[in-house]
Amino acid sequence: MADYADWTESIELLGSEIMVPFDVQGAYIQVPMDLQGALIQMPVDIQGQYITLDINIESVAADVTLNVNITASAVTINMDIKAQSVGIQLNPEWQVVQGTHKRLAAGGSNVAFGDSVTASYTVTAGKKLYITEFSGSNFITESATGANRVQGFFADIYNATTATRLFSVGGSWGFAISFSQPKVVPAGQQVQVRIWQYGYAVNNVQAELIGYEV
Amino acid sequence: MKGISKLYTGDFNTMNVETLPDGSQRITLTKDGDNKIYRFRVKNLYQEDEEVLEDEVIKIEQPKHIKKRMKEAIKDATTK
Repeated sequence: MADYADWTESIELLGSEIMVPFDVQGAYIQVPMDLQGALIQMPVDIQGQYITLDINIESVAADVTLNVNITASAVTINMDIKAQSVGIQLNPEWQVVQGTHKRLAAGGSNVAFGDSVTASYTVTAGKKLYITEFSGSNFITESATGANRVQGFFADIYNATTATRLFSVGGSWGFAISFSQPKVVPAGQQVQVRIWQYGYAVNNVQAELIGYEV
Repeated sequence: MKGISKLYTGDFNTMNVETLPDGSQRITLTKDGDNKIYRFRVKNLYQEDEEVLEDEVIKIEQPKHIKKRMKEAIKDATTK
């Protein structure tokens, strides 16, 4: 127990129209709020006909970081949104909005049987490449004679720096895969998109990865 | 800025690599909102003896006749 008496200050405002402006202006402003206790409850109950809750954070000179850290033995986050139209963007979609998406494609025409094509990219310093999708195809050059033959291929995403395969796939004609967990390539490491042609004598092949770099 | 610099700084959204018969690669980089295409041909990319053989910046411009038609369409839509 603290060595001072429990203290309660109630602020109760009643009226038909109430406005409580809080305007703080200064060169250096800090509004710390430190709550420590065995039981802390901070209910925010907003009810009204027209509700606007704007949180505008803008920094012209530097980046903005908004960290929400929750540490507990169990965490439940409930979001109950009832609306005619709700838009929530997943991270890959959001990165497109932010312009940090990446698409790396390797392609070749008249690639000989057993040969491959490669696209290499070294991840920019200070960033990571998150790979979310991978696709490719082996499509015929000589349709008259090659149309009935299985257009085989082998493709992979290869980290050339660590000499490890992040993902590989074999098959015929084509494929497209979305990763439930992105493949991550750290800064300075080289990722390669590769596809081998195992179809007809010569064929066209194409493989590409999609992701984002942040 | 040269295409190879765009690659090394990661300043692009799409990268198309075409392997050519001589072993070199033609790389095309584009970025959303940028009206330029960076296309260069390189040999031995990321190797010590890397060599850029060709380098061009292509400006993306809407053909004049489409521009004219769009302008007419907007004018038509606003007058009705």
